[in-house]
Amino acid sequence: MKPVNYSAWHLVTGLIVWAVWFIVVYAGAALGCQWAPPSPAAGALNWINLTLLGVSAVTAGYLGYCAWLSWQMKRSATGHGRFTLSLAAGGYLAASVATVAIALPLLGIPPCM
Amino acid sequence: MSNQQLHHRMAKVWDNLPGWGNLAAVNHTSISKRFMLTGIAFFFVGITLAMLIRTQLAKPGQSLLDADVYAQVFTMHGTIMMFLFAIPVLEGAAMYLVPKMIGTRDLVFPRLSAFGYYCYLFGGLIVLSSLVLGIAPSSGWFMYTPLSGAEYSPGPGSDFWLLGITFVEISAVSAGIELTVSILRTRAPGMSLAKMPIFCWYILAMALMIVFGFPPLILASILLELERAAQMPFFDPAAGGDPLLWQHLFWLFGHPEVYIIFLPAAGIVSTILPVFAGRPLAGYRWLVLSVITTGFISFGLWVHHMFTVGIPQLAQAFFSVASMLVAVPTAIQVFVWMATLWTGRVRFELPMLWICGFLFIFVCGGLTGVMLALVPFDWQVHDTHFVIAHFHYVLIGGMLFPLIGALYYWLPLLSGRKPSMQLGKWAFALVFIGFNGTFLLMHLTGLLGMPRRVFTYQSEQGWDWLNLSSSVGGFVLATGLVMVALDVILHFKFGPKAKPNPWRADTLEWAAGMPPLSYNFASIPTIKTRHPLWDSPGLIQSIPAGAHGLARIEHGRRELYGTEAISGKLKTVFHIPTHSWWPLICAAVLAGLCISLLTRQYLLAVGVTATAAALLFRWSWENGTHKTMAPLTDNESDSDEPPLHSRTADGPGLWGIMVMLMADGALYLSLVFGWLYLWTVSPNGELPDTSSVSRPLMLTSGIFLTLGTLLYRNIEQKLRGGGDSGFSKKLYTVCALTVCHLGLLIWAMVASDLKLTSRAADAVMLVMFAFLIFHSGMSVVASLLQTWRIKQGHISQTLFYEVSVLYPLWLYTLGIFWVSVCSFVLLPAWWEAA
Repeated sequence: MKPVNYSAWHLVTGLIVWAVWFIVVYAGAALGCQWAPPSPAAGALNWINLTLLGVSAVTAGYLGYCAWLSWQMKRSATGHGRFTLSLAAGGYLAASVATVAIALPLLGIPPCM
Repeated sequence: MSNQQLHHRMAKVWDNLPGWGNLAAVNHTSISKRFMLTGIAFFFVGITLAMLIRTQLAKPGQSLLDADVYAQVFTMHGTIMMFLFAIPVLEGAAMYLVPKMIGTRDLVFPRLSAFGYYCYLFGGLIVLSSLVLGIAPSSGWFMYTPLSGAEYSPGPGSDFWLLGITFVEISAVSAGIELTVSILRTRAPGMSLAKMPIFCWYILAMALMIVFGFPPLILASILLELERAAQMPFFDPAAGGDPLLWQHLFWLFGHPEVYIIFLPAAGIVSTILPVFAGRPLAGYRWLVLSVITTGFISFGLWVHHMFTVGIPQLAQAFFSVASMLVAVPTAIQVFVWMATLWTGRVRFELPMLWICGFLFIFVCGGLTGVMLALVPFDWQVHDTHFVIAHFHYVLIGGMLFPLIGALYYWLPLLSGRKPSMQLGKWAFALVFIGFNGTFLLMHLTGLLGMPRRVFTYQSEQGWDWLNLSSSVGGFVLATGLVMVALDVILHFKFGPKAKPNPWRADTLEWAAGMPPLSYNFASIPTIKTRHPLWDSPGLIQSIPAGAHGLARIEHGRRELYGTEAISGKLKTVFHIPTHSWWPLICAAVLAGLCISLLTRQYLLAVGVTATAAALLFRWSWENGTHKTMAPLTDNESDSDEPPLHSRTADGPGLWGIMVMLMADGALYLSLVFGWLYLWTVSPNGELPDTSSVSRPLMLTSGIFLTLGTLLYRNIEQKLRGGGDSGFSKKLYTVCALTVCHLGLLIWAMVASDLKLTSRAADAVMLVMFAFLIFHSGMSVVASLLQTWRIKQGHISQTLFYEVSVLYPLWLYTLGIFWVSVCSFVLLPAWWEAA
């Protein structure tokens, strides 16, 4: 089943996924530090950052795929469907870019200091 | 029927009662004007306080205000401007314009509009009274703990803020719900989302942001008031609480609020600017996308207000990047406006002066915002006058300038007269020069190290001339604002008569009459384009002539078209309430509750709460086929219009309760956040000991609730499917099952050994119990009322709309119960075992 259709929910689905990802990453870093904090001296590439980077890559990839799919479907759509899908494509793309941008610090900053 | 007869009959149904009866008005035009006028009155109080601040700081070592009074003055200035002016005035503007722009006659829950207004008025007066009594809050408009707690603020000032502002927030959330449902369900037939006026996109985003953004602060205010009044230590580190929890909850509201204020103002710009550019917006879809993106990303920025409190560097980096990212959709909007101007034939009328002022000032404020998003820079200027300068550039530039532009633009709609260009130009010049004189220099004052909230300073610090210049600028700004007020007042007498659609606008509000009729439109047109008055200018004549839909009024009901949310396809006719005293009565009783809590008369507060609950349920009784609404008639199917919503399974109440539950869910998630935060992040946080909460009792209680909800679902589905003759008895069973659930839940709470004043986690647990009991209790009482309504004939096998309306509440109550059991009771035990 395709993850994108003509429903107006797709106007906001991408950004809802982004919001959930943001909560997971912010809370995940806090909980990880509570449970098994890696030493700051060990640098940024530790189990917490690598896990969160993995989650971020999957999320950004999924959102990017949905953006591409929405754009493809928009070409053959008419009326409300065309309007919805073009905005959905933009929303998914914005969410994907925001995910990548906000995840970048995971490459350089240790989580528990 | 002649045109005159039609209007006479419409006016009879839609006009307010005369004299004191105006207090029972629910019409959106009346209520929104009250919101705006009250907000403007509060605004001038806020300006007066600002002038006191600037007089005090004009020279070093001044003694006009002492430290305590100064603290009260700046706290009240911020509080009034943010809570009593900016949000209510913008909501008022939205409530005034949205129905007219989308081609409908009123907002969808008119009594809620009136209730919201009275909550705002009474809440605002309660907060303001503290200033008159000399006991105003003095901890700053964001009320940081522990400064606002009982130890450091023992007087009633903080209580005034917490109770009064919470009261005002009820008003904001009710407006958020109202606007969301109205925009989605009452647009004129044919007005799909793609054809909706751009202003309504902005207001839809704002309304939903209020729905999700205000509840965290409502929760925080309840927790802090409980801490102050009942010593429950939510924010006390010694008992496992954390003052930073307040900051998180406050800014979870506070940062989106900046965009809640900015977005409607940007919506004004996006509406006015194309009219004076003489062409459609250069990028409608880009703007819609920017609005949606801004709405979401603005919820991921709140920690940038807390960069200096010791949050881990990685988390700071997340929020720093997010804070810079939000500039992108905002910049897209600026580029769309510039492209529209660039490619249009611009007329520089009075409203455009204010829009140009907005563009200059807001872009400057946005740039300093990006600077503040950088953590090291923020560390340097945090809590200095640089920050004050930044947010005044954003808020005055981003909100006040467009608002005054809007005032001048829609003045002919309000009064039928045009403003004076001469006086208006002078007012603009004074405001623009005064504003920059005040705040441009304040950046430098901040960079030189002057902290905010100090009541005086010494001459050798080198801030003298900067402060004096800012103070002079402040008075020039205030003079300009008084001149705007004067211009507006004078125009009602001396302004030249305006022609119909005087600015040659494209949106439907200019077809509602100048000033608008109480029912806006005698007939509702079908909309075929995004620019109805540009493409069909004849609508200005054909709408009042009754040439379009819903022009019959013999039934004496207030009716709106109910359309499909996406396509704008006509589905039903919404019948809405006429004037009512319930909003005023209920708000007055709730104000009594507020005052009884302020004066710590808790027994009285319990009585007032019970009275308020009874009155609110009595209000809800007047719905559906009640004689004051739309009683059943013999010729129901004779009409050539779609069916009344109460005869279907889909109406505004269903949408209203779902949006209301979103707000409720945001409050509940904030509570869960607080629970997890105190456990994992608080300095003295530890694994909560939940062993005293009986798991068997909780689980049995949950089973009863689950059975009750499943049975309710069964009733609702069977009624939708064609009827269920035994649904009345089943409804009694639902209530009985839920009463058992409630009894066990209360037993579990009473039997648990919660240390409410010495353990923050236990105090949060009690709030969770109270939350669940409140929702289960409300579900039971509402369903019991339904059994009564069945007897009265308001609910039957064919009139089951009200059963469908309550169904989401049952599902929600069940959902929060099991999430609470898992997160509050089972998760700590599981964590301990792991």
